[in-house]
Formats: sequence, structure tokens, C-alpha cells
Amino acid sequence: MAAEKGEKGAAAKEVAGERMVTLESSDGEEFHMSEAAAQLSTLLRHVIEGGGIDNGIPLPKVAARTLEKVIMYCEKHAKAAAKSDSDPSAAAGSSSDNTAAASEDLEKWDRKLVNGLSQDALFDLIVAADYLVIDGLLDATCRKVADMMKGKTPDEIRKIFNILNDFTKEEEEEMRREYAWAFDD
Amino acid sequence: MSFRNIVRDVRDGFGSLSRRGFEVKLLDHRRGKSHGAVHELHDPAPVIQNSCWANLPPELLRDVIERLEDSEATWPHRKHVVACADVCQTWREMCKEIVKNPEFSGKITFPVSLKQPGPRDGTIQCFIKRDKSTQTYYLYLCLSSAVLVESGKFLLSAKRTSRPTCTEYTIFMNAHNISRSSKTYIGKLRSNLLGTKFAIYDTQLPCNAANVSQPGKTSRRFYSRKVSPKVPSSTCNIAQVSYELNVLGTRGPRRMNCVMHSIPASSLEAGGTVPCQLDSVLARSLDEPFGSISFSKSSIMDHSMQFSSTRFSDISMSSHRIRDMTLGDNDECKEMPLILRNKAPRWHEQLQCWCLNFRGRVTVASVKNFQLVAATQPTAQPTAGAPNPSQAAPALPPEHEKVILQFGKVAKDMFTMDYRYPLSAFQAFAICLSSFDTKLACE
Repeated sequence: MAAEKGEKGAAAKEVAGERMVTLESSDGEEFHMSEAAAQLSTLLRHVIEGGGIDNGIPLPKVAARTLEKVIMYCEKHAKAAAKSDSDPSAAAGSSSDNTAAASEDLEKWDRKLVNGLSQDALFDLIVAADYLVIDGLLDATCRKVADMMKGKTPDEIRKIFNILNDFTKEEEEEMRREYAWAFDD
Repeated sequence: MSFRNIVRDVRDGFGSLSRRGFEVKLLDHRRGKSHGAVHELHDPAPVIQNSCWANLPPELLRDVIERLEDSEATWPHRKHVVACADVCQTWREMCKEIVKNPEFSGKITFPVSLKQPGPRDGTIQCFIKRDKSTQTYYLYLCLSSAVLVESGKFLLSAKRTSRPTCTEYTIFMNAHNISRSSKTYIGKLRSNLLGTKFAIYDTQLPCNAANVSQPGKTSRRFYSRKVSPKVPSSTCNIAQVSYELNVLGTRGPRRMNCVMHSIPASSLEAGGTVPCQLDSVLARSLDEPFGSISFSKSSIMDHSMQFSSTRFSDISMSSHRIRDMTLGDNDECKEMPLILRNKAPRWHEQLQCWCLNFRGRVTVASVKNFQLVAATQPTAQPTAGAPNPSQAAPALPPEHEKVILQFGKVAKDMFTMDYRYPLSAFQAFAICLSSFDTKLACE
């Protein structure tokens, strides 16, 4: 890969042979991310391809602590993808076990990432994943929120999501019967 | 934690407050923009904690619910989808959009699934348990593919009552405390004195002249069918089942004939559907007159008021006496009804018995066992000793060869019931119950 520093400007620096992009969080912090990792975000990919990002890519909708997690996710997944691409045994049948194990490990890593977040941080990450269009991260965060909802009563879900119960009395009664039926084991 | 981080967090808190603050909750006057992030943590009101989720954009909420629905595909986990649908109007609509009817998904999710047609591909496998001491029958969704395992999700129950001139099976959507006045009553089966003819009644009208428009996003209608407020426990005759002895008298299997008033014969043709499907499994008795709707907690939200007015504008049957109305009276249902007949068993010379291929789902011989197929032409009558008389019958179109309902014994007081489109679980259950009752002498 020939160095094309001049063309893409300061935004596409090379660090240890890898092209980097600079991102700026909503609160003014600068982050660096490999271009390979940035490709996981459809939004960033389009911005990079569009060129003209001399001073970094501003992300007014993503705060620093969230961007940190986004970059962690993208770097991890970009490395994993590169590894499996360069796997010498990729052509052989035996790699399917390795691929399965590797993807399981990656899933575990994803779960650990989202499990370690506070509710606010999870919320911010889900919104960021949606904004940056990072499918895998959106999937992982959405699953986590879905998990949060499992096992909760409608009232508990309302409390978490701060939702007003707008059913009429009659509808409420039907909801109760429906709920009782569903939970009648 | 570095000073920089603390500053960042506080700044985040303020920043996010102003993002969230625009959504003013009229009912919570304590929440003001002067509150800092730190104060927020100590605020005792439960609504303020974790309030970030209130601002989850609808498309992301939908993403979340889609994943929930996808991951909780089987029972008992599917109950979590029902819990989400019981949160508020918006969530309910979203869930109802995401969850596919049993016709397409093969899954039972909400109670209304029990009155919707079964899958076009494959069958829904259930089992029925009979409790002779209480004269009660329980329908369960099979959770295990093994026939004798009693692992199931409760669907419906039926209580048998003997009367001087008939027998009645009242059907409920709960398993306990069931009585005629129960709010979970969804329909019944009634037999004649001889136990040869049965009528199935639904508490809701599947076809309705007052049917305004299809439920859609704009109307957000909760109720699709209206029952006259004066007659809260009206029922509608949706099907008739009759039993006859076959030409061999009591030496052969009996003949079953089901006329499904609420399902047109065209439903089995290419592109055919079952019209006028229900939104809810229970009939709504409108005991709240328009003027006294209690607006309770939700009053301020515009859409709830919009909702209430569309709901009551649907009433157009208030002067109708519709108790035990037969569907044939209705203009919309003048189409030919679907007729189901039991598949003729074949005489097995070596085993010296009548056989049907139940594909392992029925293991005990019983006169109650049957398979129902759509009738397009009369099924050939089995004659004793004649090998495969039905081979002489002309070939049926493939769609009409499918077994739409299969019922049979697997153990003492335990029976399997497998059904598919265009029957619903409720209809299938009622038809099977008739098989318990018929007093035709058996072999």
C-alpha cells in the first residue's frame, strides 16, 4: 500500500503502515482509528471515500466516552476480519472449526462490552451505532436492551422507559387477561 | 477518575439534560431545567431514573423489539413479547406489526392467535388433556416433539355441561375459575340430544356488516368487531359438525361433516384467504357510554382521544338482536362455506382394522380419532374387505389432500390435535370436543 499522505491530508496518517483517520467527538476530543476499522461504519466509509477531511471527521452527535467504545468495537472486529482473511488454512476444510470458535469468541467479547455499560452509556452507544451505521454494534446493543426487557412486567418496562400507560380501563383489563394467559404455565 | 473525566461527565449530564428536557411531562412538575446531573441521581421519583430510554427513537425501539420477537420464538419465552405489547398503545401497535399471524409464522403469540387461521406451511401441534372428574378439557401447545411428553403451553380450556336437551362445552382462555359469567369465555360447542349434530359458537362475529375499515396504522383501532352493548354475551354460530354412521352401520368408522360458515371454500384456492379476521380473542362488552369515558392517566396525549372517537364511531349494530345469529344471514358471507369431511380410513386386512396414517402423532386406536380434509367431492365409502376402495376415486387437487385437522388418542385422557390453515385453534378445539361427545355406537 503506497503512502498517499499528500492526497488525503492529515486525516489519513499512517501509523505503523496502517492508514489512520482522525475523529473529533462532540466534546472536542480527538481520536484516531485505523481506516480498516472505520470501514465498519457505513457513514465513515462514505465520508472517507468522499475525501476532503483534512482536519479530521467531526462527530457532533457522539460524545468522547461513547466514541471510545465505538472505536474499541470497530478495531476489534476489523482485526478479527483481517485475521480470518489472512488465515493460511482458509482454503482447507479444517478452518471451519477455527472460524466457528473465532466468531464465538468475538460474540463473547461483544457481550462483555455491552454488559459493562451503564444504562446511559448503553443508550448513547445504541444511538451512536445507529448514527454511524455500524450494523454489528447496533445488533449487539439492541440485543442487550431486548435482554433488559425480558422478564419484566409491563409496569416495570414502563418505569424503565418512562412510558405513560395510555390504555383505557377496559383495555387494561384485557391486557391483564392477555398477560395472565401468556404467563399461565 | 481524573478531573477531566468528571468535568466531561457533568458536561455530558447537562448536555443530555437539555436534550431530554424538551420532553416536558405535564404530570411531573418537579422536573425543571435547573436540575443538574448530580441532583438527578438523588431524585427519588422513579420516573426520572433511567429516563434516557424515554428518548429512544421509534426506529431503534422497533429494532429492539424485532430482536426480542426473533429471539423469543418459542414458549414459554414468547411471553416476553406479550409483556411488551401490554406496555402502551405505541408499543402494542409496534408489536402487532412485527409479530406475524400464525398463518405465516406458524407461531402462537397473543390470545388472538387462537382465533386466527393456522399455518399454510406445516401444522401447529397441540395436545388435549381430559380431566374426567371435573369434566374439563385443556388444550396445550406442544413444546416437545415427543408425543407422550406433557410439556405444553396452555391455550384453552373447555368445561362440559350436560343439560336436559343437549350437552354444552364452554370454552375459555384461562385454566382456572372458569364459569359462564367469566370474562375469559370465548365460545362454546353445543350438541343436540343424540350427540349427532353440534354447533360451534364464537363470542365474536367474524363477519360483520358494521365492519368499517381494515385495522391500520391510521385508525389505531383496538376493536374490530362490535357486539351490541345490550347483549354482552351474544354468540355467533360459526360452524356445524355432524356425525353419521357409515354404510356399514356400527361396524365401520363414522362419517364426520363440518360446515365452516366463517371460512369460505375459496380460502383454499390459489390466492384465497380467510376474510374478516379478528383483532382480539374476547368480545368487548361496551358498558362505558361515550360520555363517561375515564381518561385517567393518559388523558393529555392527543392520540388517545383520537382513538376513543374512532372506537365509538364503529358502533352501528346497536339495534340488532344478534344472539345466536347464524352467519348465513350476512351479506358478506354468502360465499360457499368450507366443508370438511373425515378422511376415509383403509381396511387393513392383516391387522383386521381401519387405518389412517397419523404419522406417529396418534398411537391408540379409538373411534374418536379422525383426519379432516376439505371436501371437493364425496369421499369414497370404505367397505369391509375391499382393499383400498378410495383408489377408485378421482385424484383431488393437492391443496385439498392436506389434512387440515388431525385428532387422536395417545394415552388415557391424552390426545393430540394438529391443525393448519384455514382452521384456527379455537375452531379445531371445538371440533375435537365434538368427537368426545358423540353417542353413536362404536365398534
